[in-house]
Amino acid sequence: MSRILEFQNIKKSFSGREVLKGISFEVNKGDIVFILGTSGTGKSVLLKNLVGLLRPDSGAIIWHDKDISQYSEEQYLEVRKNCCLVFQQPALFDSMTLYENIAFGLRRLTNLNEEELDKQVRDSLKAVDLKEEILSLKPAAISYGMQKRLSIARSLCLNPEILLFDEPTTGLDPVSTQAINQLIFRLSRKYDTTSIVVSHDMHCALDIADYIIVLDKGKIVEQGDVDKIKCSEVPLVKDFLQEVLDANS
Amino acid sequence: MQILRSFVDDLGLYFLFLKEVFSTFCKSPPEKKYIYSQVLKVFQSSLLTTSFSGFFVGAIMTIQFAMQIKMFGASGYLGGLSTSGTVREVGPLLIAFLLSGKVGAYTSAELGSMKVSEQIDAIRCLGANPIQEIILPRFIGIILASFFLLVYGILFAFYGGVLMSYIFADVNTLEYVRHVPTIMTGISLFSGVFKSIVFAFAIASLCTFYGYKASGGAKAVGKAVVSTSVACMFSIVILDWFTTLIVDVINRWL
Repeated sequence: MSRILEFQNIKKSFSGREVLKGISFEVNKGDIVFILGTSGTGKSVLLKNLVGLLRPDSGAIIWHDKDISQYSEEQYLEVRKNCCLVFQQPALFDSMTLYENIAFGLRRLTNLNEEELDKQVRDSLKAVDLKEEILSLKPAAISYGMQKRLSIARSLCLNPEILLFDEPTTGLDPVSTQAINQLIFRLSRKYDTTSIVVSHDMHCALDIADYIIVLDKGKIVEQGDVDKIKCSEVPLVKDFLQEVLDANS
Repeated sequence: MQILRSFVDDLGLYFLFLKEVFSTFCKSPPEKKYIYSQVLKVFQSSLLTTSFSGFFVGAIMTIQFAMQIKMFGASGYLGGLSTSGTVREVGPLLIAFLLSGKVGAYTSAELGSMKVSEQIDAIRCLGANPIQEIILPRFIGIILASFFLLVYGILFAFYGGVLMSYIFADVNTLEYVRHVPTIMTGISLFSGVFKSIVFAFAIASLCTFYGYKASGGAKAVGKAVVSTSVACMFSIVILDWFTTLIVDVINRWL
């Protein structure tokens, strides 16, 4: 499989506190990559560096053989069109209808006419298993789980190369969590989209990931495919695996 | 020392924010329909409060002047003195305080909530500029609406003055109005308008700044609202002193 993205020695500090201490890894096209770690280890910071919401202090982010880490806001538009971030919170715009929420990015990042745009909105809504009847509603009128799906639809409708999920199942019940995880898997396979999922759900990672990266205190402590992770001797990974075993038993 | 450092930091960030707002306005101004909708929203939500506060400001001023003026038997000048004082100073100042509490705090909370719920980051990720999409319409909308509201409030202050002069000083409407043009000169009117614009700018810029820079959780939204209210009060008082000096210089020059 071809390499689509590469992080090279990414470092990032906030007020003198080093959050990312030289992160390097590659992502292959079509893979589902899980980045696992406890809270505050810099998982979300890593994703925000990729889409330019934050800039790394040093290191390079290689996308299509170009270092995008020092791109200008204008140059980042192309990156953001192809690498769509689904936020930890649904981040839907309260004052707009759900239709306008999904169409927001399409209107600004594509040249689709109204008819094409309408089709794209409805197709992406269908892809996340939501019904068209809700399109005229405002975000406050639907459940949190539906809002999460809608935020995935809002990113999906741009036909991105890479979908980035920042803790997509936070705040959801176990049934909705399972449904969202299956949705990520299905979308990735159906649309041949590369997915990078930031999470602390090892159970789900073992189920659907092609590649797993484990972060601890700003460093990668383990990475590899599911089989390698299952045999890992790293204490944090063993703790995560133990939790999965406990949950299963 | 910590407070001073925080103040200097905020001041620097505030000017950088203003620079970004102005450069975005020059490069890509917001759509007019969004500005209209903001003006309408602010104007409608504050109309009743401004009417009441304006009316009572005028009433208080008239009662205060009536008590002094009666002693000199110059009740005929009540309308002129009261209206001039209200238009020139008290009207813009008190109504600006009220608007900073109502419009300023609301806008700051709204933007702060958008920031902490990642809506502003989402706007950037979806190819839009948050300054153009959400800050500028509110910024311009609040300036325009606040200015209109201040002028509107001063009109109500005039009505309050007329009514109180009739009730407390036995001065009828015609007598009240007769000396208004004599005492309330062009410079008084200019002072009122000038102050209204300056105060409206302060409210708009401070509430959008504190809302936009909020970060963290719900606590950050509360902090943004408090900072907006405190900063608006302080800057309105300081700007009032400063604009009074400017008007005085202009008055002497004329």
